[in-house]
Amino acid sequence: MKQNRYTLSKLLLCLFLQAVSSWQGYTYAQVTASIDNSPVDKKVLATDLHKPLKQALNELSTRYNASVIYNLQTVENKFVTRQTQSPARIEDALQNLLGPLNLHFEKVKEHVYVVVPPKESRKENRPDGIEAARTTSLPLLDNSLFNPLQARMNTMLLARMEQKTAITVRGRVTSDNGEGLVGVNVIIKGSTTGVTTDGEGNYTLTVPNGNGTLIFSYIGFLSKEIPINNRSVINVQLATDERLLSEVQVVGYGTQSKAEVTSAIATVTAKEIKDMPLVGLDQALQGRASGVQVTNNTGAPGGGVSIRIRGTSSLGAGNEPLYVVDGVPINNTQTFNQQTGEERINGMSNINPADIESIEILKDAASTSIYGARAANGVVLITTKRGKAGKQQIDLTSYYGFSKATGRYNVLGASDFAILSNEGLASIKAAPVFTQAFINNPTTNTDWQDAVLRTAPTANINISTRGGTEKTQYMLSAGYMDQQGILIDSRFKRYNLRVNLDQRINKKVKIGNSLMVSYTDNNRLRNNGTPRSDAGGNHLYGSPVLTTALTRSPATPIRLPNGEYSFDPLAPLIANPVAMALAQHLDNKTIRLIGNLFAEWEIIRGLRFRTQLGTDVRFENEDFFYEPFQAAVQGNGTGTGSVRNFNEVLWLTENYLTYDFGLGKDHKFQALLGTSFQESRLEEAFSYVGGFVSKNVTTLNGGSTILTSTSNAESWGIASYFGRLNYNYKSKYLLSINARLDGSSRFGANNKYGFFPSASVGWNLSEEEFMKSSTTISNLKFRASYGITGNQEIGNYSYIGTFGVGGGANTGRNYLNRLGAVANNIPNDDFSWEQTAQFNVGADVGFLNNRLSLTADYYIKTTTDLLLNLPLPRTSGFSSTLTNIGKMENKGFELGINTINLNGAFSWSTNLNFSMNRNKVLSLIGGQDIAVNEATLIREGQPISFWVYEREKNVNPENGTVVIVDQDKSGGAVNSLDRVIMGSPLPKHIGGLTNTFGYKGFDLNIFFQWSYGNKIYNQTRKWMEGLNRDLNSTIGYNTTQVSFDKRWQKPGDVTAYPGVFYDNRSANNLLPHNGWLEDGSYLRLKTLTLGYNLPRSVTSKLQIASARLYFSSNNLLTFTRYSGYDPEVSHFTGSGLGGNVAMGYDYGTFPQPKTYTLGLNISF
Amino acid sequence: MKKIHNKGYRLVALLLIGFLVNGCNTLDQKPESALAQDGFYSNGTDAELGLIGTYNRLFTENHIVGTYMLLDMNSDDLTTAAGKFGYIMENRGDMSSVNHGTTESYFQAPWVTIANANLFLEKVKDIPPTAFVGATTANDKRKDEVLGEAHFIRGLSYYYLTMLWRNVPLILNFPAGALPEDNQIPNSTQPEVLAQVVKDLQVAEANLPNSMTQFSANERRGRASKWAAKGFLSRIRLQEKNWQEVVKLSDEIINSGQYSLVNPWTTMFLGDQNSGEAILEIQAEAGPGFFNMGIHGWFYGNGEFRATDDAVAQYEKPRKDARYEYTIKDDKVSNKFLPQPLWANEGIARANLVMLRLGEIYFNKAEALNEINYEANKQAVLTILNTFRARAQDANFANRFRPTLPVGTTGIPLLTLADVDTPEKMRQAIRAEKRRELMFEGVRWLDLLRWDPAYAAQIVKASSPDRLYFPIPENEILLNKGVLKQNPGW
Repeated sequence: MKQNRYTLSKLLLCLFLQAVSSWQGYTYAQVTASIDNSPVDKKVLATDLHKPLKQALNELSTRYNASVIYNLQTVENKFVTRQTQSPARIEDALQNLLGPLNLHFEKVKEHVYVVVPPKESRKENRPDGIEAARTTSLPLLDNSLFNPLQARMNTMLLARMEQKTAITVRGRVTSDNGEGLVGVNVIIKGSTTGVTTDGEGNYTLTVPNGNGTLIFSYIGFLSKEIPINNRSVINVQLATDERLLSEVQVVGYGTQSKAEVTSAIATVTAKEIKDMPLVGLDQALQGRASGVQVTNNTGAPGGGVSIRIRGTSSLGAGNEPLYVVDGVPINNTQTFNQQTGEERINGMSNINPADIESIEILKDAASTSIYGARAANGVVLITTKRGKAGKQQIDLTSYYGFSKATGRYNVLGASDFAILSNEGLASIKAAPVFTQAFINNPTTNTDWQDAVLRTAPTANINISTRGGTEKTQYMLSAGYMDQQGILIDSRFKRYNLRVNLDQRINKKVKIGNSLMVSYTDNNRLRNNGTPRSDAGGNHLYGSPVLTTALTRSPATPIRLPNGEYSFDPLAPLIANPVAMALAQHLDNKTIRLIGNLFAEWEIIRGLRFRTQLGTDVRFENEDFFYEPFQAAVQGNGTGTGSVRNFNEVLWLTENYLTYDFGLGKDHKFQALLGTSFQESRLEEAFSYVGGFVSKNVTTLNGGSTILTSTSNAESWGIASYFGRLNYNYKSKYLLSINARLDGSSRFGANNKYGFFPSASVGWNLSEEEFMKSSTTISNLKFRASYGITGNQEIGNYSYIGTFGVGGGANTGRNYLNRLGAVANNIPNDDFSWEQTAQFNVGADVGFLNNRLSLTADYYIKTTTDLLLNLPLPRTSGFSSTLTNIGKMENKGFELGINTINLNGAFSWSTNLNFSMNRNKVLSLIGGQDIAVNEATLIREGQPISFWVYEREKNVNPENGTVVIVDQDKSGGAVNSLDRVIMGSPLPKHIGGLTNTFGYKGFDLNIFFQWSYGNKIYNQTRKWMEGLNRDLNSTIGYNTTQVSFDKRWQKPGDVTAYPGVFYDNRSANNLLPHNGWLEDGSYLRLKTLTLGYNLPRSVTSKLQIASARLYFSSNNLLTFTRYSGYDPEVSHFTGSGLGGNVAMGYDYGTFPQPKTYTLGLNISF
Repeated sequence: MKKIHNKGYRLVALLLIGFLVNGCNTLDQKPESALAQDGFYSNGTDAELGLIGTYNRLFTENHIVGTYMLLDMNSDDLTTAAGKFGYIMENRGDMSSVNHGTTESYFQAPWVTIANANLFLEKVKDIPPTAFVGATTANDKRKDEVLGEAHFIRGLSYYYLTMLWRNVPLILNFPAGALPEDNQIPNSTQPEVLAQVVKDLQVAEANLPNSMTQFSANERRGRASKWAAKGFLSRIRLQEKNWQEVVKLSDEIINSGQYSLVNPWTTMFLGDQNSGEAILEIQAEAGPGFFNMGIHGWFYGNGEFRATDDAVAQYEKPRKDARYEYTIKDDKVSNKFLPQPLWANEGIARANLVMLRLGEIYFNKAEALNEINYEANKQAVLTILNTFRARAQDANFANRFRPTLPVGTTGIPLLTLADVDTPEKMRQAIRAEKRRELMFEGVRWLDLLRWDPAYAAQIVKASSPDRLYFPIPENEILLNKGVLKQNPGW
């Protein structure tokens, strides 16, 4: 018997070493509910009262739908008494199993547990290889019992005997947060010699000579090979194996084993986004997941973000995904106010990215249809960090940095501007306003871009603590962020608190909560839009800062000698941009509370009931104050002030049952049945007061006249019933059926309820016998799904005809100081849900023990009954009507590749994601084109496109005017038939490429992100190179140097740039023509991070667990042909046709900054 | 242990009950900040509310106020420089159905008024007369009145639409369907539209009392009235050369006892306005904001538009004719409707726009009398003209822009029969005096269209008489999928 065991040990050791030397993969056994590939010891099975621990663990993992990981040798030859009762929690079950055997377990993550041997055995350090192998718990591949290579074993054993000149190596093995790892196997490569680390993570090992290589391996971590190089101390840090930790996939209303997932879900983990100095966590998704297009609408701190998951699938009903934070589908209302026009606040900016554990992006119908009527644009599940039983962990993360503009426009200085203006005046036979003396030697030459752009500091600090007992777990965090914008006077500050608790009441019942409270203080600017102060939300005041800076005369100073802001009588509508920034104060303060309370009850084994109460509360208060007596604009100038209050309260109650059960050994089921009721109400009030004479009293009582005072209240509700059935046969064949019935208050009685089903199937080829032996392909799964989801993001009450009431005489509906009512719309009883049917096929492939893993998906998404505000003939009295008008398709291909290129002392891994989406409008009502705005068109058979006039490349050499190609050959005046489709704002493909390198304590992360094939309509440049002149102005706008240098000046000049005309000759140039359309493709070094983990020698002296210092830069390099500030731009936001469809407009948009940060993370 | 166990279940049960209760009525959400169309117009209060809303749309910046700007821009009284606001509108040479300046917004706005008036007329006719507030024996005519007011609003809207855009569709019902094809309506001809205008105005004329005494004197001027209906009818009759009808209508207004010519002339435009001469005057709200109805005056008065040399030449000066001194500043900027002060409350101050006044009615009568029979009516016509000429003298006139100038205007000589001894001379005298009197009051262009289309064409650089009217904006043609045709000549 002894002999037998010895032989077996040798055999196993040999096999292990062979496996390690060929591939350092997983040196542990792992079971999940679906993958149970460990051979069962037949001998032991025979006994009835006892069964092997391994088998018990396998069964347990199946029952609790969890992964239990163990060293084969730890559990070998251990038996448990058969349990008759099964506790509610896996923790209790594990304790029952392992306790009597003097084994312990650790919870690595939700649903992932590791069995650890008794501490005493870990401390043993036996120098002799054979002896060590016999007595320590060396990891062995669970499925490597076949194909022994006895000869090779003998050779190696012989070699072992000849070792001489041994040296002793010691060191400490730590995790990436600096904690000592207990029980790490340290093996001399090519030998059987090894030890395990002690309770502090220390090891001492005698090696035959100083030329060998040590292999460090530990379950749940990536193994490392370190050459000894005659060193006597080798400290090692092991990185967590993310793939292992994410074995469980968060899905709607639950979790699922990743191997069983049959839908298209992308995951972004906290780790990937941790070093990015971002305000909104949605920004962090950019370039991280395939199929997800993230566009920052503005670079303003806390500004709006547009997210498109698998393309634009709606024209008029919103394209933003549904965000679900810890089970609460939250509001993502982007509020705006008249002072800032299109520049909005990001609804996600209240959530602290540092609290996020993971973000799952549900893309196909199989994963989203459980969210029914709100899922057509995809669902983003946000899971925040929770407490873990065990030692308290305190983490401090902080960074400090600054940001700068990525570029500048080259605009004219005062001298050239004077020439330009005089030329314009000459074109209408008016006298010049600038003297030759001024042109020769300008007395004032202001660089307005310099005046409004700045280098802006950013600071962020977060502190969190996690821990708890088996009964109570907590996660507490506090955060502070202060990000200043690169335009003067813009700033975003956020204060966050979070409390996430879990409490076990008894064996069956557990309660808990998530709660986030945040306060943000956002100094906003009126920025995007036309430089003219008389257009936009407010006629008299408020020119956008950046566009005015680009177009204002450089011949005017910032301030007059008396300190007042200058006013330009030659162009009175272009205000002083510095005054626009500094004399206007727009301060938005938001309090946001997102949280839930839940209770979970395991009624019988496998049947669980969960009830949850969730809320999302938002209080927003926005103060505006415009200081009195500004010479910067025309008119005198008493000040104005406004206060806007907005509050939105969302309630959610959900109750659902989940039942996990099996039929026989091979059939496993997971069922879900539940209800959800949600209601949200918003109230807003706006008061606008004029007649301020002092700038010291900025509250509304400081003004004398109420200009506007109004309020509004709206609410909506949704009642839902949902269910899911997952079935798998031997983990090979997978089936999932989801359905949701949603009733929405936004639809009329005939269409109040919508039904949204989906089904998906999967085939785990790697589970088939013929694939199991493959050493190349470690994982192979095919998936297919089809389902229907809906979109209800239209206004409240749209289905009924309404009258607007009141609101004053001039902007409202009153007259004669009497209240008036005006019809808002033509009632349309027939409109119904927008439905998106999506077909998805995909494959997950892992090669070489998943060292190379690949996920590919192809989808076809067809949206029917598109909800759109369709333009009406104005003779109807209405500009548009909300109706179901047509059909649109998005189809695309997504690819995600993860590779671990090197995993020795020098580690290198690569992550690539690539997405292409093709959008096409399949049909529109009556085949009618829909002109969205200035240059965007929706036309059957085309993607959402730019629709512009085509200009001849060169101007008419005779008269210097822009020539529009006469497409319709009418020969006459330019008309709409001369317009043509020229490109689309939608990219042909987008993607992200991340390379992560590690060497000793250093890590380097290089993240590129790109967008290819999209066009941008550069309205910013049009304002300049349009050579426009405002009404009431003597002179025109400033322009770019190139348009000035190359302008047409005399007959015969052949150039692309027209002459300077202040009359109708400039008309064609001011049309939306292709001269303003530019290639918006870019490749951007989005993030570059270089980090250094302080060595143990330093951290132990400082008495901290770990410390990481890093330098990070965002948007460091951008490769693009786009001439504007930033190719990452899309002015229009919000729902409705304009915001949804009119993408790719640059409207003097607040550019993305380039940031440099220095960060420090410390764990205690 | 057992106790804790029970507590746990109790907690779950409580949560469950509490959470389920909340789920009720989730789908029952009613608008709170707007009125549902369904069930509205069920009583008199609703009708008054809808009527005020319809007036509000009529008098917006883009509807009537814009219309008056277009009319004056087209005329030979007002002009603007190349590249300035309004230049395209007064220059058919540079205009096309695509490049039409801001005429598109002025074309669109009247239809909002019309749709609201149509809805009103459709619904209110079913409200019982007794459902109106104050429907007692003493005043049971309110229902007729509100219908009359709505007909007036619709008639006025169509009148100006067809006078500017010629062959517009004639829509007399609120849209029956919400889709574009439900709302693609072909053009009607200008005579057809004008016939409907007459019908509407006649309903107003018949339904409205001599005076809606339940309203204040100022409010009466701000609303439709029997007399305003007659006044606009008289304009159309002039156009039809139905001289007898013009005289009849004019006399009815003149003899109604509701209005009188005021002296001094500036009374009409100063202070609170609402002079005895005003028949229809938009009551600008004293409230603040740029969109105040004073926008009209602002455009005229801030230098966008300037009086033409020809307009300036119409007057005897300096300091003879109060009308000139008040109307045109030295820089040819008009300040007839310039609010006082120009800026107030962060916007344009209040200034009423006088849409129709008794003065015009006298000129209509004079013109008709002269056309009917010069010999018989020459003395009566002369008296009318001299009544207006006499008002040029204003001993107390103070130039508010140039306070240093001496007070008073000295007046202009009255005409004698010798000055106007032929029908043609009389005709020219009437036209010249009317121009001086009503300059920038939206009348001149309408007069030129009937008096001298060739001259009118010359003013707006129209290559053909068809181009006296605006093109229907290209977008409308597109949205109407060819059902609505472009006006001839464009």
